[in-house]
Amino acid sequence: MIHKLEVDSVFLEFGERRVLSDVYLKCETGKISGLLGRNGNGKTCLMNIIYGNLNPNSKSIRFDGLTVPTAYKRPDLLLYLPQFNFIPQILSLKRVFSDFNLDFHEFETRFPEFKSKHNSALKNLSGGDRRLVEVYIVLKTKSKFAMLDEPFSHLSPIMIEAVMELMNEEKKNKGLLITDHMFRNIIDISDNLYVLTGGKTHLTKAVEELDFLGYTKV
Amino acid sequence: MSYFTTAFVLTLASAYMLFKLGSGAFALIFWFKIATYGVIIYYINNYKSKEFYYYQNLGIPKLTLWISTLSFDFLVFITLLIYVTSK
Repeated sequence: MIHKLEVDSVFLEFGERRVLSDVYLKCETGKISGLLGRNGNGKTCLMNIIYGNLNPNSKSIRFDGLTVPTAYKRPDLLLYLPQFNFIPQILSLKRVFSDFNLDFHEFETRFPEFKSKHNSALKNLSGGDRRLVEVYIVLKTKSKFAMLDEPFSHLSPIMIEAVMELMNEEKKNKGLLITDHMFRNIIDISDNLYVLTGGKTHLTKAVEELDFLGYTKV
Repeated sequence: MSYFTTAFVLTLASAYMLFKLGSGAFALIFWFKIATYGVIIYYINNYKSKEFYYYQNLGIPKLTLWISTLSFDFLVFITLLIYVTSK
């Protein structure tokens, strides 16, 4: 079954500064929606608004047509990978995989470098390994949608390749919304590409439009 | 140091103070404990707030976490104080 997440009517101001004013985003099962934007253009704010952690002046967030203002209470609907490490460092991989009902054996088969680390605490892993675990947890845990803010940060090129492969597998099960400054990866993997500029989202059809929208020189 | 360890050490310290100072110090110790909650809440909200996303991804909102952990800790605190004053 295809599920649909739609975002519109988002209006966000900080004091006199208008951050978001004309946003439309659609994310659906089977597709990866990429979101690009320069620093400070409101990508993370938009994700926090969708998740329900940030209250804007107005918003409309709909899952299969139903309004869900606090999606963070519904992990069956939406999971969120923030741009920073979010798993408490003190926890072991065993505990984390158990909390999210995930099979560690499947994980170590895919990423053999984690063999014999089942009982390791997150704090004993490298920055790249920690990020990889977090991305894996959000991608593999059962949910209709997942938002990933900078999933490629701290990852080596080989890890990025493996994560992109995993995203392509998992999009069959859930709609993915991703943003990252490694825009070539986002362009490569996205089925729909949005650019956030001037508080508005633009659905781009050609990479050349990124130049026109002032995001990058292609 | 985890929240639970910090709170539990403070609870033990409160019980020890009550044991030493007597039941007349109950009000002082009660407000001491409330003040430490303020410090703990401030610290966690400012320095550990990123970890709330872990629990939110498990379907546990911040408010539920605060209410359950503070209620449990306060129950332990009151139980221990009652036990000490009855001795």
